[in-house]
Amino acid sequence: MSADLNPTIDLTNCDQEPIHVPGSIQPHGVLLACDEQTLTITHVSDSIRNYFGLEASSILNKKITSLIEPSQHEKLDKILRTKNFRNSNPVGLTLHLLNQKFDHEVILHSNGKGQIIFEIEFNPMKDTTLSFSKIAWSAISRLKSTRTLAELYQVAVEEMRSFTGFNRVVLYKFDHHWNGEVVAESVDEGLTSLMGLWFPASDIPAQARELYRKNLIRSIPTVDYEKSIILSQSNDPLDLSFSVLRNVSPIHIEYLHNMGVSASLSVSIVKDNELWGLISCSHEQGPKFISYEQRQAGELLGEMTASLIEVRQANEFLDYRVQLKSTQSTLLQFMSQEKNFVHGLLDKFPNLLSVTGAEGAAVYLNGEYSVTGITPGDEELEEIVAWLQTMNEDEVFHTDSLSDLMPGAERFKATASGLIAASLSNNRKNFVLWFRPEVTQSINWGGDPRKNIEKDETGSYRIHPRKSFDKWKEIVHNHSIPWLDVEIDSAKDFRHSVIDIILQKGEELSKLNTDLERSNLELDSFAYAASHDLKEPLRGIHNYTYLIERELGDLMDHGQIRGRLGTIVKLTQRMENLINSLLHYAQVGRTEFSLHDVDLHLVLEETLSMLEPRLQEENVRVSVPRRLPTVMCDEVRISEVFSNLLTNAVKYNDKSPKEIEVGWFENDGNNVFYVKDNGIGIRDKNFEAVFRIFKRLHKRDLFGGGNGTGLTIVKSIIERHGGKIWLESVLGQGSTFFFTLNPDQK
Amino acid sequence: MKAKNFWIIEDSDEDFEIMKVIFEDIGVSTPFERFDDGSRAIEKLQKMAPKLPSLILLDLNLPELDGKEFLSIMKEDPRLRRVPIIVLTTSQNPKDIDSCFELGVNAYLSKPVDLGELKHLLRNFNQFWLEDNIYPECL
Repeated sequence: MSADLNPTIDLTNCDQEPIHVPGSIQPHGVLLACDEQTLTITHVSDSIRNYFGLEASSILNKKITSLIEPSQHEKLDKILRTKNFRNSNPVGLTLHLLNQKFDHEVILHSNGKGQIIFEIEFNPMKDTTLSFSKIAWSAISRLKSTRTLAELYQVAVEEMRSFTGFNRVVLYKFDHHWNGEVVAESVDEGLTSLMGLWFPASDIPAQARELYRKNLIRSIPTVDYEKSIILSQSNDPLDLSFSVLRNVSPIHIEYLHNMGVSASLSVSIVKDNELWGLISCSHEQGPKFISYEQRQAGELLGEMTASLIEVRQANEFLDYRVQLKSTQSTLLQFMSQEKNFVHGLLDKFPNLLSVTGAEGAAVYLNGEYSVTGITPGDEELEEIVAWLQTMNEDEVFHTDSLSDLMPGAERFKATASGLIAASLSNNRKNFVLWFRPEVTQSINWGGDPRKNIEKDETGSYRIHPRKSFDKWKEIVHNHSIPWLDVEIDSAKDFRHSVIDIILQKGEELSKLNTDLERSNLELDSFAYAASHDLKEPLRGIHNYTYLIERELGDLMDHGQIRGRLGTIVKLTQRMENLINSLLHYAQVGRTEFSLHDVDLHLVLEETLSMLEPRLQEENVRVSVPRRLPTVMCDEVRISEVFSNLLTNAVKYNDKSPKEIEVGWFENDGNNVFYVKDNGIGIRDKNFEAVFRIFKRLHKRDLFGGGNGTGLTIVKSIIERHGGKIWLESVLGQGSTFFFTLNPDQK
Repeated sequence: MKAKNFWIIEDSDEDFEIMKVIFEDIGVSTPFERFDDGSRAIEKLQKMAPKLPSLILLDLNLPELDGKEFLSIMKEDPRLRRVPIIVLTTSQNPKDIDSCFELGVNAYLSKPVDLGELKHLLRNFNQFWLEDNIYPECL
């Protein structure tokens, strides 16, 4: 008849313990169960004898209605039909037992297994009744006035304690592994605080958590009791999941004993249909009974707390969230200003690290790494990215213990225990990574969680409720400081913005290229058109001068006019020269250079042989002390450089013989070439000016009348080779022009 | 047979004037006719049959129908394409030079600013194209 628990059950198998069908109840009340259809009584607790002097067996199989005042049948029938138990409880009923009438508040529910359960609680204590509404209003208004999560938690436990009068009320929050942390506490003075302590998942086994989730309040008025057996004629166990009197698992009773708790009350906090935590009330000074009405107020408080958690969470880290947001916008600005956006992310302050409060960060883009802060090495980064690519993770992945997930990651736990990875492309080829180093952390457990396991006489391990709840410190390795939700959100936002900018940059770049191409083309035709259009009138002037001269010639001798006309012709020639140089200069700046390995010695020899007639005529001695090397350059342009420098060395030279030396030396791994002459020299103040376009240092007709573009073009050619040109000179003794060519560094 | 005549398509009066003077100076005996834009020349060429000029001296920078357009019309026409065309222009833009040869020009000369050079150029032109070169019957 009885369905009592197997007394040998312990924590090794307590996950299987059928705690929702204990076959017994706590003895502070009476439980009756009847069939939903027939209303025949199927189960009765033997406590009925204590409260009504009646043998349980005497009412089994009777109709429940036969025990109830006939005038109340209609009311009962309506409740059973509508199953509106929650709003009806407690139901005032008059029971007819042994020809006596008893008025009681009865708590009714359907257990979902075809039975209606009637429960009558007998308050073992004096009732200090505060009305439901009084408790509820006070609690609700205080909960609503909180701003942060911590305040919300604190108010919840304070309110709970203020109307229940328990010695201790804590708010217990589960983590992902169902370990619980005490996040708020209201406690009598003199009691040890449990604040911040962790309790292992094994303290509340899975089926107990399931009952907490379904049945939001659980009352144990005293741990010292003799259970009351439920009698039945069938062997079907009675499901008591929603029962208020349900017997407590002996293991849990032992646990409470070990903790020194004499009475308890738990209110579940259920968020999104999941057990989020518990408001756990415990009493250490004997029994503690809370009336049904007050328990309902407690349940409401729990629900209110649950619904406010989400709201307060949004306020949480508000300042930090704002700071992260502003960091992000600064960074995005840097990013869009830089040609290579990676520089914008890494080189300034704030940089990528500030986006998530990381210690190290890396951008992995098109197979290349750029890093800042403390990060794993290149090979290790490669390994991490390869691993990330094998995973079908979300766009933003995070962990505070990479070595838990990634094989071999323990090797770089010192730099990368924590990781946030944001993939920048659909193909998972490009990533932004944030790292946090390992931080050895300690967790304060409320007692050593491993002490649950004890070896018994037979040598097998058994789990028993712990006897010690003293603070027990555990050191945790391979973990970083956990990423906050706001930091992960920040990484997600950042990812979106970066992708937008990359796309936008790509578009800008292709537009820029098109613009550049067009403007180059325009410039090209502009230069030709300009030279063409400038030359046409010039030619007219030139030719008409000739016509005048021709027509004049037959008439008389006009020596002076002839001279003037000659000057006009000369000026037009000079003008044409300038226009040609300008066109040439424009071309040097724009046209593609073709870079090859060029034997400069051969280039020099060719240039010299081209200049040979002039060199001979002007009595020039050219010396080349050692063979010039082979360098990467544009052969035609460099020949132009030599030709210009050599011509200048001859032109601006009043010595006889004129001497020119062409040579080279190495300086800091660079080849420096020089052309040295014994010419007229250049004043210091003109060292820069000689390279300016159309700048001439001498009267036009002196030294063969250059047009002032030669050195400008030389400089442009050299700079387009990534090189530099400069000179040394002593007035009256000669000049040396030096230049370098570094096409690689362009 | 020798060139019997030639056309000059040149919009600049000054340039034409000096060419005329030089032709006189160096003794060019071949008669020539001047057009100051391409479209009038084309019109006339398309109407006149079967007689065509032996040679056309063409400037590129022309109003209305410019030199290259003129050139391409000429060289796409099976009859007109026989007429040798010699570009004489200021432009030394490699693109212009290249596109003219692509269109089938017979020679490309650049107008120098210097009169002496121009004289030299026209003297050679006269010698080669007007005196030495042999033309088909139809021209």
